Amino acid sequence: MSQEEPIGSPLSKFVTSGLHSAHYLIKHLEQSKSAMEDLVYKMPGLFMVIDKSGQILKSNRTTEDLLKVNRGESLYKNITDLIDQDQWQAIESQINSSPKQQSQHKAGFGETKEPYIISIDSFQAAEAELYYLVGNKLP
Amino acid sequence: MTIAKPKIENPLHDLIRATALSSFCELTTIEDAELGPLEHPDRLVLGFKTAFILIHSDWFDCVFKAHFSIATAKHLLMIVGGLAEDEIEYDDAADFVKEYTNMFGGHFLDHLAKAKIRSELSIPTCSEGFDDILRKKDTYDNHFYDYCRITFGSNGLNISLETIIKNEQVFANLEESARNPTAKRGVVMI
Repeated sequence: MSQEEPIGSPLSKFVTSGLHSAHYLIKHLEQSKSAMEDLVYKMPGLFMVIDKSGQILKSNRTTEDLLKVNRGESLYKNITDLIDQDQWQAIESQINSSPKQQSQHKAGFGETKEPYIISIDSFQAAEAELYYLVGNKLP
Repeated sequence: MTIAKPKIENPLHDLIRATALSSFCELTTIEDAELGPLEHPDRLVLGFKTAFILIHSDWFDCVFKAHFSIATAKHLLMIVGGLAEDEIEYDDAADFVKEYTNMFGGHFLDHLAKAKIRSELSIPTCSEGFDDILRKKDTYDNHFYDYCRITFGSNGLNISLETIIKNEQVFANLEESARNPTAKRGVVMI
């Protein structure tokens, strides 16, 4: 396409029509992704993604309720804001052991140390190894 | 965050940075906002939410992203709309930053048009900032990343740019436009 293509030419109309289609697709994908994010956010139990130092990169509502923060404000809080330092050190030593494998732990979460059983597994993101953490409250 | 390449010293990124700041000041009416480096350049996630827009041209493509927390977006909307925090919905706060990226895009296209660079703008979109760490950065020679932060008071918006240069003529046109600001327009706005 020439940089000097005049506005309103048949080529411009073709491009504009193509962009309208692209806009529709973007909107559609944005809506479905947003709905998926809501599903993850509202899932029962604990869910978070942490880095190797325990910094929270993604979490769900239960995690944020335990941290007493609003949606999105758990970002870059540390898991040691939720569990005792010595409990985290025990978990950390296990997840850093080789070979990597899913591990399960019991820990008390939040101010009232609510007992949870948590499962942790690692995954490779684009630039770092991260960890999923899911947990269920013990009766 | 690993910054794949240093900021490229070219008129395109300089123009994007300047337009990002001027658009922000215009939309928010905050006059003393400043452009600076990221507060935490080593972080993988630059903000809980990300609003972004694509600028496409035959000569380059650019994804402009504004990374923010809902608290920051609400703070901005309180300034602009004179609303109390509890009157602002979560989605309205995010939409406000989407509108910022849209305004940036419009102003940026205007600058490009003056430089005889035909370009097109996508609709603004919003996603979670976390998504960025799942995506591997391209390392092609014509692919550039740049990061900065618009600060206002103790608050701020992180900005990231991803630019693919397809024809370096874009730099010559921008430099010529800076010397001769009355150049002819040629832009597609939809």
